[in-house]
Formats: sequence, structure tokens, C-alpha cells
Amino acid sequence: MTERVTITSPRTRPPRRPAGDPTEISAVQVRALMRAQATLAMVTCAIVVLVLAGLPLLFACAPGLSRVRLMGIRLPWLILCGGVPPVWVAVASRHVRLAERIERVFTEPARHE
Amino acid sequence: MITVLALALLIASLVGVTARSRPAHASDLYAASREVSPWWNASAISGEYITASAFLGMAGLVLAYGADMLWLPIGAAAGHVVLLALVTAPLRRSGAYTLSDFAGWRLGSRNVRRAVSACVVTIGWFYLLPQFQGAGVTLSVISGLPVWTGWVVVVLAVAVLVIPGGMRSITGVQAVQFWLKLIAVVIPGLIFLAVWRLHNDADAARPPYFHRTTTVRAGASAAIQMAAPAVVAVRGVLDGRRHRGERIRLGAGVHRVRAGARLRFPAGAAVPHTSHLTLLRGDRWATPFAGGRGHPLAAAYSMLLGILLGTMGLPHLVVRFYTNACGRAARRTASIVVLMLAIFYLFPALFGTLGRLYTPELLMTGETDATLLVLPHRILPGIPGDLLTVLVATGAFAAFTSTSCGVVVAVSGSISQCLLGGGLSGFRLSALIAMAVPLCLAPWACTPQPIALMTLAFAVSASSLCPLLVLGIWWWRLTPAGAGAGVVAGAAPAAVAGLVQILGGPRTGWLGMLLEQPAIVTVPLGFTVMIVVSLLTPGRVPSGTGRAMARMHLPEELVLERSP
Repeated sequence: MTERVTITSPRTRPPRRPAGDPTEISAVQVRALMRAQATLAMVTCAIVVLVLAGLPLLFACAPGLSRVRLMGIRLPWLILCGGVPPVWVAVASRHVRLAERIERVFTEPARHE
Repeated sequence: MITVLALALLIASLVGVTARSRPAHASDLYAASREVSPWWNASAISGEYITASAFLGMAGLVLAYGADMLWLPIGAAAGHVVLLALVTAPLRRSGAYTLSDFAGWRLGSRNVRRAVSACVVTIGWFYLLPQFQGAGVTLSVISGLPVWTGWVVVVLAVAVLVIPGGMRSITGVQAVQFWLKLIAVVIPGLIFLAVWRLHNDADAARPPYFHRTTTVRAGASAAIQMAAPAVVAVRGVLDGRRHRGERIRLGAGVHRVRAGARLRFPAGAAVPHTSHLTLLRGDRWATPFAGGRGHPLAAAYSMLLGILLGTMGLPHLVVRFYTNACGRAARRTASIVVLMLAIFYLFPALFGTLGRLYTPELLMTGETDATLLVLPHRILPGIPGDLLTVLVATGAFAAFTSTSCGVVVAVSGSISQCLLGGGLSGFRLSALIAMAVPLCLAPWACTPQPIALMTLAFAVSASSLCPLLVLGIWWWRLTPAGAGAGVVAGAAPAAVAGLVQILGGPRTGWLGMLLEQPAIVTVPLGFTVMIVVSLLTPGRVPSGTGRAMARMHLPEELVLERSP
């Protein structure tokens, strides 16, 4: 439940807003925040594209898959109807969690003053 | 059947009336004054997104084309994941009501704003047209009334809901209607599944045949293809000759039926297909990319690209995130939408499969959209079937009205803010315009598949509004010239391809594939033009870009501190 710290992404740490006058958020800091959010968004989109590009390719290259049955249902039907939607739900909730974390870390110094 | 219909309409309209309230200001009409919780708003968004085409059409598509149509629901849900990742929170924080407002605010250019409004209105109208068509089919299938009565019913319902109450009443209606639609698929779905498993476990993958003696009435004159010869009792005109109920042997191949002819097929006969549906022999129906259409892999990729990126440009969806209190709530809403769609989209594949077993004659009449409406009676004759039909018809009408309402609000918002000054009476007038145009077009657009119009709307949105949103939110060097050029360069070819296809262009080969699914070409085109023209006009980056970026990406509490 608590092991939510390890994230395998190129971003090492979310940017932190330096303590000081809260009215002074420079363009550089906005850029840093945007870069962190953009990296996260790219990872999310990359997962989606990987699944959406990979599955058609898989079925096109291995037509024999559709003769395999699991619980009486053909494999492509099982994957497309039952396997992919949960992946989307997981990817979406992961994105929300990490995006909020980036924002929380960015805002924190201002709150502790 | 009339009672079924009356009951369904009554329930659907009751839902509308009870969820309605009076607006106080013009801004309430557009965005419900930002007081809607994520779960409630997510229900509303899902309610709006599940169109008539998704509710009825998807099952019909699976019945007709099989595995190749399973990409549609997957792409649709994935579109919301991409929307969540790239657009929701920044767009909400920008504070723009509509996409046109966003373009005007971010780029400070009236021309870009006008181009975006034109896109919004085009997409909206192409989106409304299949809703009206679907309502017409539904009404004529369950009551025998002429097709245009369905259009009138939907337009009246939308007028009653939208014109007095605007967006707030709509949020309530949409949210309740989502749950109505979900119940209307889940309950029949589970019951059908149980009955099917108890009664027989015939394999839906074999070519469809009549399980018992079945009489089919041809609703319109059409050519039908017989896969195998059969002895059929015919009453009416077949192949140019009038028959009075005698049994004749129909050979394999193409035959012409006149409207009103009745054909009685013996049990076990193969189901003939109407001429625009391909006969899928063997287990090709259940196998991806075996449907016999040209370049299926490229077509699937193009369709997925259009749906994936087109979702974020659907004006009626994006406008709804404004009703969340902040960017964070908007993000949570979007992730709940993904969950809700994932649950809903489990069912079309089931209904399509059952349709192949229980209602195969729809392949001959071509009314595959009616699958879900005809199924209850086939699976459960008598009172239980009646009750389930009422439930499904209620869900179908909820689908027509909720999508139509959302699109009408978005389109009329664009029209009124661009042309009529954005007041309350301007909004009402433009709502009338927004409905009148597709209503006038409905008799002329006679496409074989309403889904063609939907993919057109998605392709236009993916190649014009998607580049504008993504680059506008994430790229500092976007210029008004680049944005305008990109929107036009992306939208124009996509719209032209769709129109050519509707009017009957080539349907085979690479050209046919591209006309049907243009996104794979037009999306890169829109992005490239927008980026290249922006880079060529570096001096015209709007002066407020830094401020705009800060406002879109900083959490609200920091922005509030900054502007006391």
C-alpha cells in the first residue's frame, strides 16, 4: 500500500518551488513544472500507443491466435473486451496520482512558510 | 409496441423534468457555475459520450463485421486516457468556456477563434446527424411509424431540455441518463447471457443461419446475396416477379427484393446478406483482419488514431470540464470517465454475438442498428421480453437526447458567442439554429452506416482541434498564424474526404480506405503545418504566452496567491 515512491521514468525528482516571495514564480519554474508534467503525460501516452499499435500488429502477424480459446472465448475477443479496458483504468488512475504528486511537491515550500 | 414506446418516452422525459432547475445568469447556461462534483460530472460526461451509435450501433457493427469492430470501444476509452494526460487540467485552469474561447484567449487572434468556431460547428452538426438518424430507425423499428417522427421527437426533447435550462439542467439530465443507459445494457446483458448459456451454446462464429422457421419482411427494396441455395416461401415481388406465398428455390447469388416482400425461410437455411454487407464465411467473422476489406491493418490504425485524438476535440465533452471546481477535480473526473466507459463497453460485443445467433435476419434487412431492440423478444418471448424492450428503448432514447443536448449546447455556445454577443436570448436563438441545420440535412444524408458520420466528426476533430489544444497547452512557440494554418490544413481535407465518401466516392483500394478513414494522413498534416508555420513566424508569438502557460500549469492555489 505504501510502496508508491519508485517510479521508473527519466525524471529523477519533481521540481520544487524555492521558498521565498510567493508572488515570484518565474518562467523558469513554470517551465520546470511543465517539463515534469509533460514527461509524465508522454509516458502515459506512450503506454496507450504501445498497446494500441501492438495489438493489431500482433493479431495481423499471428492469425493463429484467434483459434486459441480460453474459457470458451477466442483469445482476441478475450483480450480486446476483457483485457484492455482494465489497462486503461490503471493507466488513468496512475496518471492522476503522479500528476497530483508533482503538483503537491511543487506547492509545498509555499505552504510551510 | 406503441405502449412500449410510450412507456420508454415517459420514463426518459420524467428523468429530464425532475433533474431540471432554473438558471440565474447567462454563465449558468454554459457551465453550471462550477459546482459539480467529480463523480457527478464524470457520469454526465460518460452520459454524453455514449451516443446512440455506441448504444445501438456498436452491437450492430459487431453483428455485421465481427472482430474488426472491437477496436472502436477500445479506441474510444483510450481517447479519454489521452485527453486526461494532455488536456483536462490545463484546459480547466485556463478558464475558457469553450474551445473557441480557449483559442481566442491563448493566441489573442479573432481569425483563429473564428476558424475554431467553424470546426466546432462542423463537428457538432456531423455528430448530431447520426443521432437523429438513429432515433428515426429506433422509432420505426419498434412502432412502425415513419422515420421522420423519430427526428421530431428528439428535436422536441432537446428543445424542452436545453432552451430553458442550459448547461446546469443538462448536467443533471446527462448524469442520470448515464446510469439509465448503463442499467439498460447491464440488466439485459446479464439475463441474455444466462438464458443463452442455459438454452444452447451454439458457436456464433459459424456463418449465420436461421435457428427456426423465420419470416423476414423487406423494409426497403434491396439486393440480397444468398450464400447457399434455399427453398423459400415468398409473398411479394422477388427478382421482378410477383409471388403469392408459393415456395420457390433460390439459388446462391444475388437476388432483388422489392420493399414489402415477405420471405419465409426454413430452419437451418443460411441467412442472406444485404448487398452492402460482406458475407463472412467460415470463422472469418471472429478473426481480426479477416473481414475481406482492403488494407485492414492500415484502416484499423487510421481509425484508432482518429478516435484516440479526436476525443479531445469533441466540443461538447471538453466544455464540460469547466463545470469542475479546479484542474485537479477535472483530472479526477476524466479518470472516472475512463472507468465508466470501460464498464459500459463490455456489452456491445456480447450483444453483437447474441445478435448473430438470435437475430441474423437483420443482416438481410440491413437494419443492424436494431439488434439490441429486437433481441429481448427473440431470447425471452412474452412479458419479460416486453419489459426488457421498454428498458432498452428507454436507454436508447436517453442516448439520443443526452448526446444531442450536449452537442446542441456546445454548438449554440459557439454560434452565440461568435455572432450574437453571448447573451441569454442569443443562446436560445443559436440553440434553434444548431438543431435546425442537421434536421434539414437528415433527409438528404442517406449513408449506409451512420458510423461513417461519426468517424468523420472524429477525424476532423483529431486533425484540427487536437493539434491546437496539444500545442497550445504544451508548446511556447505556437503563433496565431501557425495555429490558424494548422487548423485549416487539418480540418479541410478530413471534411472533404468525409463528404466525398458520403456522396458515394470509391470504396476500394488505398483511396477508398483513406476516404473512409482519413486520420492517418490528416492528423500528421495538421500537426506539421501548425509547427512549421509557427517556426516560420517566430516574431508573432503572443506576448502573453508566459502568463498563459503559468495559469494553465500552476495549481490554482498558487495563481490565487499571485493575483490578490
